[in-house]
Order: sequence, then C-alpha cells, then structure tokens
Amino acid sequence: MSGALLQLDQVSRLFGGLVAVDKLSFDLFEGDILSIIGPNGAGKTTAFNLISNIFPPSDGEIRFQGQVINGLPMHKIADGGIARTFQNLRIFPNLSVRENVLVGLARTNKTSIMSTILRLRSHRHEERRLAADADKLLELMELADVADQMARNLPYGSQRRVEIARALATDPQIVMLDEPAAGMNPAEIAELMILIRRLRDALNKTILLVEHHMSLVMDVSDRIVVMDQGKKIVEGQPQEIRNDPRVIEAYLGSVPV
Amino acid sequence: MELLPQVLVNGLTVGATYALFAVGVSLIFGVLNIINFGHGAAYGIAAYMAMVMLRYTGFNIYLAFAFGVLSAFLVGYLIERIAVKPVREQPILMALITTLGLGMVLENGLQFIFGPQTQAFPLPETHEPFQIGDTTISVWEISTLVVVVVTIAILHVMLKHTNFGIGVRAIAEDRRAANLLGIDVDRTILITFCIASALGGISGLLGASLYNAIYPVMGTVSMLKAFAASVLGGMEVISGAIVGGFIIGIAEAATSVYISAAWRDAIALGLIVVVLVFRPTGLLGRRGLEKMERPSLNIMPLPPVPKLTFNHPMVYGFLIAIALPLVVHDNYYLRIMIIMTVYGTLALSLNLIAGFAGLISLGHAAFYGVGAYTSAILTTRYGMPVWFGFVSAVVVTGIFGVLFAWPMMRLRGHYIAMGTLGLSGAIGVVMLNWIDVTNGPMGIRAIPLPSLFGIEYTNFGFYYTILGILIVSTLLVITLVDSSFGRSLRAMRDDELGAASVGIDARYVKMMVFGISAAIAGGCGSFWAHFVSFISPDSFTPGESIALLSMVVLGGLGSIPGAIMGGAVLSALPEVLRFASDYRQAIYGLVIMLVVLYRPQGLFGFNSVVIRPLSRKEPPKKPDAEPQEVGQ
Repeated sequence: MSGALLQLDQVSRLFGGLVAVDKLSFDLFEGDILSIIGPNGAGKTTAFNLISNIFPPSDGEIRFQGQVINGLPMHKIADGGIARTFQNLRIFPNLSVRENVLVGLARTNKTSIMSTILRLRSHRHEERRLAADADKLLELMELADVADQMARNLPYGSQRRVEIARALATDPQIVMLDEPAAGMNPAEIAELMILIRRLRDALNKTILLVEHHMSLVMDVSDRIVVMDQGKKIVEGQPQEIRNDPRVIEAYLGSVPV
Repeated sequence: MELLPQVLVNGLTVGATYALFAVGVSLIFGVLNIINFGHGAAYGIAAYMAMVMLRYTGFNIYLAFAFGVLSAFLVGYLIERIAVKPVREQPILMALITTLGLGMVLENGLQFIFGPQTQAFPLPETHEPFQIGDTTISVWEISTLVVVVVTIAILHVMLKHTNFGIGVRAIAEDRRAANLLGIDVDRTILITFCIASALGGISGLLGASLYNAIYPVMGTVSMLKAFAASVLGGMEVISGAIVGGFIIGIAEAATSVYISAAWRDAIALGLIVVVLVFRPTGLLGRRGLEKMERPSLNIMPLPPVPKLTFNHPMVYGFLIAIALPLVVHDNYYLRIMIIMTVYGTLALSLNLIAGFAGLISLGHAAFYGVGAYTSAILTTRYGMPVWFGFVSAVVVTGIFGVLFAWPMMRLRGHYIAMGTLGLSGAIGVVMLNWIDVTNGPMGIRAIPLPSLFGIEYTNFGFYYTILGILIVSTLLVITLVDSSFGRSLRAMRDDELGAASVGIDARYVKMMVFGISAAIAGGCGSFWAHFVSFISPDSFTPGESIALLSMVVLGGLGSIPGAIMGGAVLSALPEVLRFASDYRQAIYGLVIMLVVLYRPQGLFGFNSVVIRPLSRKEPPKKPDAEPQEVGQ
C-alpha cells in the first residue's frame, strides 16, 4: 500500500466487555514525530501495548515495514526495531546505569554463550565494543557522570533518561515514548523537547509519542492523532488539532493550549 | 470393575482431607497473595495434640479433637505474627522463606518431643466397617466426609454472609482500598490465617484417623498434596481447591490399585507440573495469570557484581583454602572441609538461578542427584572410567537442567517455587521406583574411587579436586554474570517486561541459566558419588533442595562469596554441633527465618542496604550532621 513504516489497520482490543481500543487506524511515516493525545482512558497506552504486543489485538492488523507483526513475542518486536519506554518506569533498578544501557545493546552482541564460558578473545573483544557503544549513548543522554551508579539510586528525571537511553541502545527505527514528560519540571521538559528533536534529526529515528503536556506535543509533533474512548476522532497537524471543535469537546473545553 | 467403588470410597475420603487442607492454602493465597509454606505444621501439630489428649487424659474424642483444632488455630496465629506480618509488604520470596523456616522449626519440635517414628493414633473402638457388596467403608471414612462437607459449608456461609467474610473478600480484591474503607486489615488477615490453619488441623485429625498413624513430617507430605490440589483448582479459588483435592485423592487411590502403591506419591507432584505447564490458572482459576503478571515481585536491592581482580577478598579466601591441608592432616577435619566445599559449590550454582535470575528454585537437589546417578551408573554398570563419569554427569545434567526449565517458562514467583518443588519431587519418586536403572531405595553401592597415575584418591586428593571445581565454578559464575548474558539475566530478574521490551528472550535466558547451574550441580553430584561411593534417593529429596536454598539465603542472594560461605557454614553446622544433629532441619529453618527477618541481604551479603519495597521512595538523606562549632 503506502510507504508507511508502521501501520495500524482497524486495530481493536477488548478487555472483557470494555472496548479499550476501537478500530484504530493510522500510519507512521519514516522520520515523522507522531503524537497520540486524548483524555485519560482514551486508549493511548493500550495502543502502545498493542504495538509492542504486551497483549495482542482482538482484531485488526499491525504492520511494520509491510509485515504483520501482531502476535509476535514482545522480544521479537523489540528485535525488529521498535523500542519503547513505559509510563511507569521499567528500568532495571539493581543494575548500574551503564549496565542498563548494555542490556539494551545485548541484541547486538555477536558472540555465543560458549565463548563467554570459555572466556575466548571474541568475548573480551565484544565486551569492549559494547562498553564503547554504551559510553557513546551515555554521553548523548548526559548520563556519563552517573554511569556506575545503581539505577535505583538516581532521581526520577534521570531514570527516565536511562530508560530512553536503554531503548535507543537497541538501535531501533521507531522509538515509542509513553508520557516521557510525566513528573518533569518545565526546565526538564524543555530539554526533553530538544532531545526528541535530536533523536529524529541527528539519529534518524521515527518517533511515536503519547503525552499529556500539550505545549510539548504541539511543539515537537509533525502530526497528531487524537483519541477518545478508544476511537480516533481526529488526525492532523498541530495547527489543525488546536482549533478542531471535536478535540476541544473531547477535552471538555479544557485543552490548555 | 469390582474394585471401582472401593477406589472411589478411598479416593473421596482421602481427597476430602486434601480438599480441606487445600482450602486453607487457597484462602491465604487469595487474601495475601502468598503461599504459606509452613501450612503443614498445623496438620501435624493438631494430630499430635489430639493424640496426647487421647492417650494421657481421660478426654473423649470430641474434646481431644477440639483441642487439636485449637492448637492448629494457635499455630496459624504464631505463623502470621512471627513469619508473615513483618514481611507482608515485601517481595513474596520473603514470606515464602519465613513461613517455610517456621514450619520446619515447628515440625522438628514434634520430632524432638515425640520422636521420629510413626505411632498409632489411639482411636476409640468403633462400629465394624460397613460392607456393601465388595466395598467396605469405615466409620472414620463416613465421618471424614461428613466433617469436611459441614466444615466447608460453614466456611462458605462465613465468607458470604458475615462482616468478617466481606472483609476477607475486600482485602483479597485490594488491600489498601479495604483499609481505607475502615476494614481492620491487620486483624482480618490474622484471623484468616488462624482459620486456614484450623482447617489444616481438622484435615490432619481426619488424616490421622483414616490412616491410624501419625509421624512428625506428616504435615509436609500432605502439604504437597494440598499445594497440588490448590494449583490444580486455580490457586485463589476456594471451590477449585475442593475440586482439586478430590481429583487428587481419587487419582491416588486409582494409582495404588491399578498401577502400584509406590507411584502414588508421584501423582500429586506430577499434576503440579502438568497443570502449571498447560493451564497455569488451574481448572477453575480466572485471574491466576494476571496475578502472575504482577511485576517486580522478586526485586530487592542486591549487591553489585564483583569484578575479577587479584586483590578481591575471595582470592585470599581461596589461598587460605589451598593452604589449609598443610596444617590440617586429620582425616575427620579434611572430610568436613570436603563437605563444606561441595555445598559451597552447590550453593554457588543455585545462586545463579535464585540470586541472579531471581527464580526461587526448590528443586536444586534434583540436579545434584541426576549428576550423582549419571556418574554412578556409568562407572559401576558400564565400567567407564571415573573422569568419563564426571564429564558425562556435567553434560547430562546440563541438558537435563535445560529440559527441567522448559515447563517453568511461563511461571514466576511462587509458581516457580511450586513448579520446581513438584518436578524435583517427581524426579525423586522416579529415582526411588525405577529400580532397573537406579536400584531403587537400596541405592548404588561400591562406586569406584577416582585415581591419579594409578594411585587411588585419598581425602587430600578429594579436597583439592572439589576445591578446583569450586574455583573454576566461581570464575565461571563471575565471568558469566558480568557478561552480556549475565546482564540479560539480571535485567530479567529486575523487570521481565522491561527486559522483553529491549529484545531479551526470557525463555532462552531461563533455560540457559538452569542448564549452566545444573551442570555445576551435576559435577558436584558426580564428585559426591565417587567420594562417598554410595548414593541413594534419600540424599536428593526436597528437604535437600530447601537446605541448599537456605544456604544461599544465609550467605546473601546475588552475592558470590556469600553463597559459597553460606553453603560452607551451614553444611558444617550439623558436623560441628554434633549433639544437634537431630535438629538439622530446625537449625536450617530457624537460620533462614531469622536471616530474612533481621538481615535479608544475608550474613555475607551486601551491607549497606535496607530492604523496602521499591515502590516507596528512598527517604531523603539527612544533611550531614556536622557539629557546628560556633565561635571558631
């Protein structure tokens, strides 16, 4: 069909009798920053969970580079090039910050477990390469000075950056960020905005964003999908969304534009 | 079949006692989401207390049984207050270990007071068994069915129609919300525990009357059946536990009659595994899987991974261990040192699974056993050289470990503990009954000693061999946990969903870690077989698995030197405290309970952490209280 990198085609998800996501369709094109917004309970995070297949869709198809990916195990989706962060952080608290990133890099590890057991040269060589790659990412995410701290000891904002760094470590094509600005102060949000743009412009990532902070969404997004009660109600560029009466209605006129 | 009615009668009555016991397990699991591994104590203590009353006082049977139930009620009180309440908000592993520990102490207490032997249960004379066609049914069998039905009916009314019952169900849904609604959560949980234990006590009294026999560990034996019933029915569903109990009772009765009584005990254990593999929610369970999805159950702050350096304290430890035989020539002490090193290595290998992968395995003795049997069979029956037996044991047990892990793939937390316990128990029954291969309970004798350059091993040789195995294993474990694989392992322990989100295949990681850990344990098993030159299934029981887990917990989960020290210290304890050898189980039980309650990071574990649920924020650090010296 089209040249979309990721396509949702009439995707639905039921929880018991509740329709959490109702025939959701949208296309995500390479190099785009697409945001999904909507009131609480609109089904935004559920849509994310369907794409990364924490649970499969009840109906419809999700295609990545033209291939149907619904039903694939979660780790295969990550392996295929779709990385994500979580609304409630899911970093590895008992690993150091560097190790958190190294776990993300693990899928690029080319040596077998036998070479590790036997401590072959290829094992040591590969460990050194992974460490160098990790350092680059830590530098990028401004985490270099806390690299050896246990992730659990970091402040919340830094933990969010650890999670993003970990997602980037898998060298994904699509990065899905689930409410990255939650719990951040205005200064941190401003930094986040710069970061998201840099991910796209400098690292050529395609970005899918769920976010409540309207100023952030309006500022960084190329396109916006608005959801309400599981359905997509509007899709368009930020200016169109800003003035759309349906959107304002969905938010009960309380859009803090 | 003429036998069928009799099978049904036997199966239903025994099943009824399992059902009642399992209801208690499910009740506690439903309310608290923990499994009470000390539940068996109520069963045994009720039976022994009633026995004492019947034998030494003029009490009639009703008073004696009432006294038994009351004792069980108090056991519930003790377990909840001592072992559960302090760790209620902590990772489930904690309550698993504390209840297990307290249960072991209580059961060992019975053994201490009444002796380990099986005794008759002094029941009063009753009417002759009734004869219907070819089927006999005794008065005790009839009363068992009546008592169980009545008890369950009362429980049902209580849960449905009383304030207490509403409180219980509210807490099961959401503890915090129940608290906000003014339900006294603390008290309700306590009473639930007491009632669950009382049910266990009734079950114990009925079991004792049916078999007309009591022995100290009767509770643990029945507890495994109750776990199986609970799992089969769907952990938190009380009706499921009842159905599960009856199914297991009938299946066991049928096995005894149609196959062989020897395989009877494998039924429950096998069922645990089959159900967990194919339908982890059980027959009637609905939310089982969702509860399993609850993340981060195993997390607790763990020590950082040691790096390989030449000045690590472990290096000095090993140097001392190498030098020790220069000072210690006595064969007796050498023997103890060998035992300590074997268990240090075993604990180290279990720590890979329990500490680094966060999977609470109660089945490690199975690996140790498979290694021992592989080597023993190859060298005695096929005349293979000892080194070949050893290498084969490592390889075979490694593969066995991978296969062992396969059914555990979908399981987490408690379910892993249940699954490994069930599977290793079933393997124990196979060792006992597959006589053609394992020689059954007689064990394998005259396992050849290893020799080097034509000279047979002495204790010196054995000591340096096992020390070599330990050092190589330690290097292997350190390399592994600090590698790409090890990081994936630890990441999965911390957050399985998070790990999957970066492409880590939890199945692969789990199977590999079980394989590697099993291979090390298999090597230890082979060593042990050639060292003592006699093995039997007695050495590889679930009790042994629990002892191994105790060693890891004592030393410190996720701590490499800790596990080694834990294994060495705890295995030496019964030897050093010769007088206390009868209380081995009680010592282990007490040690693991106290360690978890007062020093959860283990004796040799990470020092500077305080265990608390991760959801809570760290308290703000107090500003350094430097003495403000005014006027200087």
